[in-house]
Amino acid sequence: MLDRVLSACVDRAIARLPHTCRDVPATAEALVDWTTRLSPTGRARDYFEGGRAIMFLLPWWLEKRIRSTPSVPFQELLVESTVNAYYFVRIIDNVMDENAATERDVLPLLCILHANFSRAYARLFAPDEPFWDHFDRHWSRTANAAIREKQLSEFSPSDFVEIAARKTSGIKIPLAAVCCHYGRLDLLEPWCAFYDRLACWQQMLDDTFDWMHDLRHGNVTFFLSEGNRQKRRGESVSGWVVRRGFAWSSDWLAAAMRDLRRDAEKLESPELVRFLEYREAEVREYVEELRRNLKEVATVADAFEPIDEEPEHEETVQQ
Amino acid sequence: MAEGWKSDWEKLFAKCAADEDYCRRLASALDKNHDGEVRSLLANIGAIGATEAETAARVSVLKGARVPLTQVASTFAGGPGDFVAP
Repeated sequence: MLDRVLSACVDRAIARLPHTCRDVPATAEALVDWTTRLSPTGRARDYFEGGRAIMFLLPWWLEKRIRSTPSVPFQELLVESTVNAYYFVRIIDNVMDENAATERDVLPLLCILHANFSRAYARLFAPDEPFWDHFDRHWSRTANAAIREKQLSEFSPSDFVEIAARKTSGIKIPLAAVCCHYGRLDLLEPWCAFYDRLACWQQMLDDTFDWMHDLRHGNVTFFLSEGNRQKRRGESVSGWVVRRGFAWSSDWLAAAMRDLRRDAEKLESPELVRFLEYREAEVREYVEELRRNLKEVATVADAFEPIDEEPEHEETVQQ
Repeated sequence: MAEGWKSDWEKLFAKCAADEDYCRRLASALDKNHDGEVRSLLANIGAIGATEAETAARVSVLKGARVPLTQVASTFAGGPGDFVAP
């Protein structure tokens, strides 16, 4: 999914992760161990494939929008910062979502990750440059979204757009860096607005495929909130998912992707348009097969959980 | 478990998603028409029918949807993480 040059930047950023702890090998080892365990393949680099690659791709494509050949040393700094910022957020998110013991044990690594995250930008921008206003704004909004998300007992559609999907607003920091570096702030707002919509799609995809995990851990998501609103009398959320919920969500995703592709055309980035086409096809094929299976699974749910046709709640939110 | 599985459907689906061995044994029993084993596995998780007719209907439906049930349960058992199509 990543360009070869960009992929090499990610490789190097991961290899350099323990560099700042070089005087304390045990700390470096703890950091490397955690990143390795986080990846399902046991190879830290693989964790940034698939949908997560977007955090490197958007600043890369934005720079390509400005100049045909991106500056590798510049992108190298952005990627290094983003890898550290992602891990920083991941540790906090895992502790907040699951009170994960592994992440609690490595919480002190946050100071190293944050230092690495901001150091890259300190090399690019003097302290009084306007970039830091963008940095503060997007980083504060990321923190605000993460805090507010945990305060909600259910998500409305607007909560989803304004809170859940804003947890990854930090990705706008490298976008701001590109625009500030090249004096193209005119591009920042449209690219950030596009990212906000892409983040909604990505969050809905995660909510849809992680719903069992979220339900088990008591995580509140828009998808589960919608299940609670839409389910019928006597119906469990699990029953709603297999009968109608997954179909509702996949229709939502398909409509959102159509809008995203239309919006992407305006950003004049052919690579971004191709990425969306690829992602849409990948998800659609998988979803279609799953929906066929779910029709049969719904008959099992009906046998094990008879329901009324009446909604459990008077007002259900449909999209 | 934050919610606690309340209905028999929730118990069955959650068990199939969380316990590969259970899911494999249930699939095998359904495949071989070992109805007694299927009933026993349902009883183990408290998902046996309230009546004989209800239990028989459940076993019958399960036989028809064995493959999709195990596939769907394993699909949703994976999280959390980024969706990557297989």
